[in-house]
Amino acid sequence: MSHPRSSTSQRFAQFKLVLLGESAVGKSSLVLRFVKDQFDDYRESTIGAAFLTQTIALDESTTVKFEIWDTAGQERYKSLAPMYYRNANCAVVVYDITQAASLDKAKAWVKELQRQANENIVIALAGNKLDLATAQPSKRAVETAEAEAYAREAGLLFFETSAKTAENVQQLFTAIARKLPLDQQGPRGLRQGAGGRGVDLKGGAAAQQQGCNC
Amino acid sequence: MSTRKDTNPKENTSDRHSDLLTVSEDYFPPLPPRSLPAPQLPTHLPARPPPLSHRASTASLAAKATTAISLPEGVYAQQQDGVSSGNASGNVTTAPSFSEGDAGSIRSIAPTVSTADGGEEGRENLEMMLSEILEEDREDGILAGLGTLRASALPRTTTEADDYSDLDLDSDSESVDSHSGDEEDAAPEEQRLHHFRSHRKHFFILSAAGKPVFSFHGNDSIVIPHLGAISAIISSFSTPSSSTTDNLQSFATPTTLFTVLSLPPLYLLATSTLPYETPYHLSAQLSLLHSQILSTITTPTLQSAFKNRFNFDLRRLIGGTEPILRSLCTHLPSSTSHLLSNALCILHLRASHRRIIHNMLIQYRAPSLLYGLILAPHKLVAVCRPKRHSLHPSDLQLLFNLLYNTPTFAEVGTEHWVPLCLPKFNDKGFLHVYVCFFTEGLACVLVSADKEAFYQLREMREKLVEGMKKAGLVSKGGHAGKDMIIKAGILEEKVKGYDNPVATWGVRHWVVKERGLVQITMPRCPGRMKKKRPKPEALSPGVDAGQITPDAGSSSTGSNAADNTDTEVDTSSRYTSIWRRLWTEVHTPPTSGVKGKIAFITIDSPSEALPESSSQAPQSISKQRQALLHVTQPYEIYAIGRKGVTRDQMIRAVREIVRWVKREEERVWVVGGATF
Repeated sequence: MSHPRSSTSQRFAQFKLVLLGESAVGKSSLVLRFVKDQFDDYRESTIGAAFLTQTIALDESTTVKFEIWDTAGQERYKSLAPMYYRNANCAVVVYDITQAASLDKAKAWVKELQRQANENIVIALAGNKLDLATAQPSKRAVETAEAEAYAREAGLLFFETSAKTAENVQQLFTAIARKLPLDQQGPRGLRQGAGGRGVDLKGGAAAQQQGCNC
Repeated sequence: MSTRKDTNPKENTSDRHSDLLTVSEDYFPPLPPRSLPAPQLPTHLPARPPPLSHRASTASLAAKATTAISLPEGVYAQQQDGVSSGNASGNVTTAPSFSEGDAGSIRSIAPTVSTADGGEEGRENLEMMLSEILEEDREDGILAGLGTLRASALPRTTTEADDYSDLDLDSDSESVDSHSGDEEDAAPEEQRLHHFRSHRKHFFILSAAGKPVFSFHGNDSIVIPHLGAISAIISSFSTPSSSTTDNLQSFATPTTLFTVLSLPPLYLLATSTLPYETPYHLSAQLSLLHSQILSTITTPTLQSAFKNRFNFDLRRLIGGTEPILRSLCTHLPSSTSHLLSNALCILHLRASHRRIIHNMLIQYRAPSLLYGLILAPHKLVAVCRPKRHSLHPSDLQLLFNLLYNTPTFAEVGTEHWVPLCLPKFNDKGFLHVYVCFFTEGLACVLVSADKEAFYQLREMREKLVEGMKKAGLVSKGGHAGKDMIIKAGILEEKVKGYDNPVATWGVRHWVVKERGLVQITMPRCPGRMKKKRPKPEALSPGVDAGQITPDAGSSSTGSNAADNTDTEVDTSSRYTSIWRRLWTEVHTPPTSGVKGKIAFITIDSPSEALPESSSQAPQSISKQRQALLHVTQPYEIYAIGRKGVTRDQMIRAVREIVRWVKREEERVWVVGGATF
């Protein structure tokens, strides 16, 4: 874990991010690309959920640390999902642009998040496996315009991504970080919110240590 | 002889064994290699093969469940009896019945998510967890295969690739071919069928309605017709009135052994052409596969899924766990640990080092911690547990398979939070397991019944790893490297004691099982051996005075063509094969009553001889290896000698090994672990 240099102008914020979506759409691959800049062609199903962290610098003075919950897509884990999105500040809902049904599943997740999760949650919709459609346009099952229109209507960030080629992956997470309420609340504000629906307490404690350096 | 007695003071038959150890070879009646088990009459087999009851009764003598970190095999056997007490007619009571004597150590009083009785939240959880799937109606594809049921669809009755009798230390690998679905999918149908049938082992799991749940090999179009045949065979032997003992357990063709585990609503079937695999072994493998399914969805969920709809498709519920089942299928047949009642393999570690870790496990214990484990590849380093709870070996076997045989968790630094049912602990609810590989191969596994405990367990792991670094047990460096290990632990070849027995005692490889603790210790497997000849080699699995049963070497057509391209083979599976052979020698009924305490087998090196050479003159002594199993009250000792080492020398070596194990007691076993 890297931490920002302490200086008076430094801002550090920590956010909890959850990935949701049908199984085999590429949630873990997106995370692997984002966190380790790697890709596995044959990745086995996630069991339960994986927890990873990644820190990105938004600009010279702003650092955002994501605590990422990469959940398993299988339906048997569905009832555990609230545990992961309950205190999440942001969510990436992933579908596979070559599987039309996966978008329906994604819409269901968005609906659940908007109903059950933190009301300020930032949600991004990610249509993954863009590389497949690029190589072979006939494989595309979900038109960009269609998903984009839905995302606009539902108030979501929207990207078509490829974990394989890394296309739009960094952009996706950066866009989320930018949309998170850094300015209104700042790191301290976020911490105060932690008691309610904000960042998890443990995460808050870590952020506090950082804050003391200021 | 006094040494012999010293090492086993309590053994009431030690006198006789002292004699046994020195009498001439002829004293040990030669047993034929048992490439095929005795059972021939499918309907009249006992509920379990006789060997098991033998094991169960002897093992329970040594059982002290609450001081061991895991339960002895006696308990396992009792539970297994409980499992099979249901009948195949569709009654749905398959939950293991916990024997009263061990209830404290098996049944958990810890709160787990439970659907059985009480635990309203748990019930909700499970129902929520599965409702969508359970409700969804899918009528398609039921018994698609039944229509195409033909005699020829019976698996592996007469395939020419059936002969693998040339198994030996210096022969072709016994290792079970791992799944190769892609190849199969690409080939034309007929070729795929041929390939499918050429596998040495098959595992099928199907629902009582004949629906596919899992198959080790093949795709649906190949597997489903077989399932039709399988369920027809199984159901034709089970009638509503039949008790468990009358259900089909096992049957054999001249080349292939079939073993059935009927645990409604599931049927499990294993086939094997490997020599020395008995119904007991296959049944144990199937039982673990069944446990794996329970660990994914729990017994109540499994039951209710089929209660509502007989032809439910379980694959949707266990989706994503096929690689785990597959890795069990691949690894179990060659797993020494699994063979020896799922005994735990312990990392050889200086007692003071282990004590430090145990103390830290207690010191940093998170409030909701149930079990804490530090694991090295396939080995236990340290454990902490509540005083009243033990971990069952087969649950741990599942955990080890999950962590070390599948790539899902192995990434260093990624943390996992996994709902997992440990069926022998409590098959009705989930525990939540925190898994983190804090360095290559070393995992911290923290188990809690509280699904919200992730952050406190994470904190505990941070303190633990920090503590181990400070204590110098784990190097402070960043990432993987051979020195990034628990000191003097993982690289066992560097532990002096392990080198010595192997090098100086004339023993190539050995395993000692502590029967009461259900733990094993063994040196690192002596490397991979280069296959000497690409040509199929016929071996005479000479068992004592050249007595060889015809079926072992009769129809040899050499090894599988696919294996001929291999230049290196997995030796560990060969050793396991020999351990299994020895095990069978000792546990086969004809000997078990009289002198089932020690067995020798002679392993000839491959010669130019052809298969029919079974009656050839014994080869020169220098080409032979001796393998030995000695069962004492506390231990089972398996050993394979170097070439040319005589039986007398082997006996002396085994004595040395026992002496060494006694001396290293604190390092090779984990007695009790840390308790709180």
